[in-house]
Amino acid sequence: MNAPELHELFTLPQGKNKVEYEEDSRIEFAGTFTVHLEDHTLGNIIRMQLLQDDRVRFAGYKAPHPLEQRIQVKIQTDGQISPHEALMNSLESLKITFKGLQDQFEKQAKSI
Amino acid sequence: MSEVYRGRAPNIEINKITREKIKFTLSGVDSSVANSLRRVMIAEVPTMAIDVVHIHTNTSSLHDEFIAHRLGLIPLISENQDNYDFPRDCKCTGHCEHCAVQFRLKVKNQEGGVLDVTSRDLRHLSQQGNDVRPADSDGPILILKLRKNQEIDITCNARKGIGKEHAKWSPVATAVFKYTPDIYLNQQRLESQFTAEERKEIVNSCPVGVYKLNEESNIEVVKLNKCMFCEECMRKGEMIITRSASALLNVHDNVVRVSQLKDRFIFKVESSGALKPESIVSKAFTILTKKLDDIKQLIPPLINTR
Amino acid sequence: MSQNSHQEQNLLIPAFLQLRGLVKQHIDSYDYFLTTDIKQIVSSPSNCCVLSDYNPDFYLKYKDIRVLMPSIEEDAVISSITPHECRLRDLTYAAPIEVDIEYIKGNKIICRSGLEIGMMPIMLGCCNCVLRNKSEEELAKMLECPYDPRGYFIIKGVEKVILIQEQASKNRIIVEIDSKNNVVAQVTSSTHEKKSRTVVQSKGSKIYMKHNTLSEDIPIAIVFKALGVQADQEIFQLVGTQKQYIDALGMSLQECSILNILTEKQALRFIGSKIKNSKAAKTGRTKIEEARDVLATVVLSHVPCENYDFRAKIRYLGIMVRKVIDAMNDPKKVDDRDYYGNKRLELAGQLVGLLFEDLFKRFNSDIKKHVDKIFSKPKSSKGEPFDVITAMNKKMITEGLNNAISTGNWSLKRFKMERAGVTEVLSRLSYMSALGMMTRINSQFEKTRKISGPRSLQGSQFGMICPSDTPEGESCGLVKTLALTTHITIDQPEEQISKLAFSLGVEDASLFSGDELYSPGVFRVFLNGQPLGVHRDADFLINSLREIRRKGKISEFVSVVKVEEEQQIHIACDGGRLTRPFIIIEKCKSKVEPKHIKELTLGLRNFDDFVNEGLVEYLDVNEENNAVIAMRHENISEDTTHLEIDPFTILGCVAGLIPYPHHNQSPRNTYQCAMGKQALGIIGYNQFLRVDTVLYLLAYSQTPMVRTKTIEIVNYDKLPAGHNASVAVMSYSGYDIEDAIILNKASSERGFGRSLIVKRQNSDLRRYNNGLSDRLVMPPVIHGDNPPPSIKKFHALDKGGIVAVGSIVQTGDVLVNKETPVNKVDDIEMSKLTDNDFKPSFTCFKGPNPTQVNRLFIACNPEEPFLIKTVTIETRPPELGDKFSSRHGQKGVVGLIVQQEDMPFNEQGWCPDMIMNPHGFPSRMTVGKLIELVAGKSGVFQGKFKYGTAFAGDKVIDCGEILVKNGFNYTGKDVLMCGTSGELVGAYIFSGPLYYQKLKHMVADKMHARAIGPKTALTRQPTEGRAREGGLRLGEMERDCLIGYGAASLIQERLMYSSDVFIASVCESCGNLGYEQWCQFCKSRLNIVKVKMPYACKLLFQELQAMNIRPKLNLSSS
Repeated sequence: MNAPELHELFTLPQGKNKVEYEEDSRIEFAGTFTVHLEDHTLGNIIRMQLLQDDRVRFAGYKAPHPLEQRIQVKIQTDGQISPHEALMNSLESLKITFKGLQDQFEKQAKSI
Repeated sequence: MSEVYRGRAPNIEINKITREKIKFTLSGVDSSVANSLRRVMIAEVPTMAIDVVHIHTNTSSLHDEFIAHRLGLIPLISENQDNYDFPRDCKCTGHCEHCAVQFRLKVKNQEGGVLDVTSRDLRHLSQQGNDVRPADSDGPILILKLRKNQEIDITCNARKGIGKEHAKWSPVATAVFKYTPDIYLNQQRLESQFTAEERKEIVNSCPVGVYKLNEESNIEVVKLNKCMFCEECMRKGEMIITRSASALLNVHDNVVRVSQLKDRFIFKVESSGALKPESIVSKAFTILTKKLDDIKQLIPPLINTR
Repeated sequence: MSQNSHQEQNLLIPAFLQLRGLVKQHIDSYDYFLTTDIKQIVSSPSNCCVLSDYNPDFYLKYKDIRVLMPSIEEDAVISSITPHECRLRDLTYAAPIEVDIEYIKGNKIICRSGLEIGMMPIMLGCCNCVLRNKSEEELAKMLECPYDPRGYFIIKGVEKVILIQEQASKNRIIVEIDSKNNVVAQVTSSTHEKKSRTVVQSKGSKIYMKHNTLSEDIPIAIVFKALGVQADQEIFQLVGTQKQYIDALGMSLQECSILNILTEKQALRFIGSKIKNSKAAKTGRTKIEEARDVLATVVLSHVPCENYDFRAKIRYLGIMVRKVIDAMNDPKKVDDRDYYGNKRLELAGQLVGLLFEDLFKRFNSDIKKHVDKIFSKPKSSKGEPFDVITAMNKKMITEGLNNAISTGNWSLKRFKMERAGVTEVLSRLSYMSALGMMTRINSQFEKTRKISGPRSLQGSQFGMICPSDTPEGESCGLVKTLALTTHITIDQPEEQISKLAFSLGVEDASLFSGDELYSPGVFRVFLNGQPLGVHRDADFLINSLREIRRKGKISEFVSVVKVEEEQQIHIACDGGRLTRPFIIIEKCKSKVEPKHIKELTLGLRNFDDFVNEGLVEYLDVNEENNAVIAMRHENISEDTTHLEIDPFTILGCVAGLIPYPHHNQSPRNTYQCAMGKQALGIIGYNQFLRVDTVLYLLAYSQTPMVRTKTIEIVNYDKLPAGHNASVAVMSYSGYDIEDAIILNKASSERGFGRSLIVKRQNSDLRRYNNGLSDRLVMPPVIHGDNPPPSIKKFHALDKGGIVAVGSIVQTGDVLVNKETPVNKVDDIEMSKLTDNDFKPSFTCFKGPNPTQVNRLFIACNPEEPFLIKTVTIETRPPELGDKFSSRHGQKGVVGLIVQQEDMPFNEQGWCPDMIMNPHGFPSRMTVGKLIELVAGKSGVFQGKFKYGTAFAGDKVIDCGEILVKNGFNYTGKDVLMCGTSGELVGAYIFSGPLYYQKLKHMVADKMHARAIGPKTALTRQPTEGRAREGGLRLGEMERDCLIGYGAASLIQERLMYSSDVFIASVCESCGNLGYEQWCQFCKSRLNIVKVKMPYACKLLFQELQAMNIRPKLNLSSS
């Protein structure tokens, strides 16, 4: 009765895009990405990956409310790249990491 | 933290696979990667589970909703779940062969005594979907019991879903990682400042028996992986130092120090029976990659709108 | 004795309770009523026959009375019934009362046996109940739960308990100090016939007697003289000839001579003139006769007095005076009113006995009235001679008993007793609540009075009454609970005991003058408060009596007490005393030896054998004072006479659920006692066969990991109410502040905290006086997918007009489509009625969630020809805001339900079901909970249940060792990793299994909000309360805030526009309210204006007008 509707886990809220961006009005090269229907699984790895990047000055994420299915990733860069590029880069390198791990894993699993 | 593993390449190494368990070591990544993998295995690897139940007859002692709940929790072998769509993605209304597997549970106790109705009594309604069936490797799963002349007749649809929606779709019993222990023993001080008796005390302080005294009665780490970071050994070491005269020298330097390697994780995944453990892991990687990919594709349009 | 055998003696407790059941006191007392008391009532001289004032030949004599087995008469067929059938069909579980009579019909003597005079409600489990001594299998066939406590009644399908009533003991002298600092000795006499209170009181230096039939206090010397003690010396001897008595009595004696009352006659005349409501004039008796009569029958009515032989009364009065003087000289001699030895508990048997006697008297007086009416008329020679059986109204007794038990109003005309709330509906919220109710003691004190004495725990209650189980708030300490082994005695015949006492050397008091009674070195012997005589060797008498009792020659519940200071021996065999069993110690050795225990475990002996062989005996509160009781074996010393069987028995059955209660702060245990009764669980093996209005159940109830012995004894392990939750004590997310708990979503989906709400809705097809009856109607056919709500609500109905089993209904859906005839008065034939002659009166479902119809019952009973019961079961997983509690008075609501992957986990894959905030511990000091966790955790690894029995239980040291052995931290703390980030949690987390109860308070039943909705007809203001979909009140204090803030428009909106705004027509010229633009006062519509005001304001004006007050509205525009 009190629980959030189940479909909220899978369907985007009305009028929202999966990923939204809002530029920080006060700080240069900074902005917040809102990713709907994602949780700590993604937020935490993106944040950690962003922190690897020397051009990223600040990276952090939060899940603003436990009953809302979205996370916010805040990125500030040093200007060499935009927050978007930083995010793209980190997503790409994460993808490579996982892909590599998966290949490695599957190869080993097959051989056993 | 990042410095620790920056140099090392991500690496995965399977230690052991059995029918329901897998153990592997993930290294060269930080805790966020390990944790995401764990989270995806628990909550986002899809399986099949009974979701919609139609009860035609039920004269058993349990009421309808109770039985429906029990049916839902039966793990179904879902190796071929890729062949099915999520019900919410399927074009059909209701159910079709692309999104559901139908079962029928029709049992009547005619003999008397108590009859166990188990997952083995679940029959497929049609030919297709035979690949999805109750996991049975540990014997049948009890659903309910019938007394003489009690009867149940139920049709149910198994559908695809993920653990986030309901725990019945979670393919794992446990999916967990632990940090690799890193034990530092200041052997020099242990030998010079501690008596053999005191060293033995340190060895015995460990509840899981990580240490052993070797022939020279020096402390030796024998079962590193057993360590559970309880720090009993550290406390014991400190205690011995403080009670001895050498306390004045340098208290802050521990003779025994237990810490974690921050880039090496020992995973243990135990399947519920729905999927083979190695498929759970590899499926988790696929899902993670897809997640990243999906978002990545959505970012360039945002740049343009700026 | 070895350590081992010490523990074995605890086996006596289960043996005791197995033999006894948990509600033996109720059943015993009712058995006594049915077998003995009822016969005594009927054979007592005042009840046993009915005579006629007009026909001296007529008589009706009762020779015997019996209560048969429960049955029901339907269509002239008598069939036996089971309790469960009564529950289902709304019947009364009652048995016929049969009498054997002898009476005069015409001029013949007629004997008639087996005549039914009414139906007696039968207590479940009593000697006349079909469930008595039945095996589990036989009970199952009768659809009964073998663990049901029984001891209640079923009246019209409702389970009713007659609560144990506590009161000051009757027929005993109690010495008190009143508000004016006078010493008062009072005695409440109570016999079958009369009830009165006699008071002997000091007033200044004089002593008076007070009685409610006398308008004034009578100087004590006058009373003595009236009773025939004319010599002053004799009076002194009756009280005591020591100096202090003579001094104290002197002034009182002087009063006699002042008033010039020296003879018996003068004294009687004096008393006669003080009688209230004197009937002397009416009956033509003299005052002297009347006074003598009052003294004989009313004053100290419990002291026997035959043929105006006042000697027993004189002695009794002497004792009372002596007590007053003693207390005047030594305040220590004042009795303690709250001392539990001075209390008696009234049980179902006694209460129903009182009621039955009253009804039987009325039954007889009705017969007498009828008989007199017949015989007062001139005899008609024709026809059958009058048969008295026709004058018997069977319904009177049946209905009198049923009404009293179902309403709880005990009104007894002859005692002018008017008591409400004697019975209660048996709470079936959980097994424990039912059990708790059966052991509850209600006290007669007013709840409103601010008195602490009767509320506080008295030392003499030790072991008899549970120190923890009492409600909080107004009835705190007034409502108590019996401890585990307490037994309440029933009345025992006095004759045997007094005979025995005399043959043991008691010298009969009636043979003595007063002086000899009080000679030093002599002990006065009392039986049930009445002086029996004196004995010169007190120890001999006491020891012999006890020896005889231990041999089983007299009842084991007879108590013998020596009061050294008063030189008195009290023997008691009356009913309502609290007793409990002890092991007898002789010469520092327990009489219960290991071999006895061994025989017990082998089933070769039962608890009764222990009592009969004198190994164990019962002591009542008073006799406990004569005993030196060792708590444990190691405390036995030379003086020890008894040994406690097990210390944990001082707790009751509800408090016995708490593990390690001796480590908790005391109020926490009290809180748990209140909450244990609200926990959802299994209420009985027949729970799904029952048809209670609401039944809260738990889907997968678990037996607790950490048990107590009480849990096993009361079968809580078989009918548990809770889950063994894996708990991590840590802070998480901030949604756990103020005792909120975090729940694991996966756990709840797997069945944790899943509750079932079974609801029953009744709907009966009534038959009216004109021969018409309600009818069931076929529902309208539903077309299309989206029918209007007025049609859709019929969707669940079958063609017969009753809901289909298995369908899912929502609030507002029709369950029974019933129609009632419009005309319920005139005689019309049913077949001639058209559909228009009926109006719909369907029964609707009400509930927060969609619910499945589980069962239907269609039954009939003598009152209702067609009774339809619909049973729905709703499954409710835990949700945000549901209330949970551990067994240590720590309650909390669910603050957040978290995905499993977000929960912290340990390296073995464990993750909590529940997270509890550690701030709950420091201020609550529930150390027992910490120990429960450690013990439970160690038990998990051992694969064994752990025991947290009060004052015993598994030791923390041992539990810690087991944890260490299994590779865990000694203190129960674990290294956890954060579920969201994967990093180590920066502290060791105390985690393990704790038994958690889901309480009945659930959000779904309470959540409520409204925008617009129903309004009350009178005031047009929104209705009140959730059930009526009411508004949320902006109360006075809220209003004050708004006034203070100056938010005038908001006030106007809340209090008028959003409530009961009304546009009134007001006449500007006369200031009266008008109606529809018309002023009735001015007979004009010229000066009418519209004014907005609250409807309540308009209503007030009209009501004032109705009282001839004219409110005038002076209007001005702003």
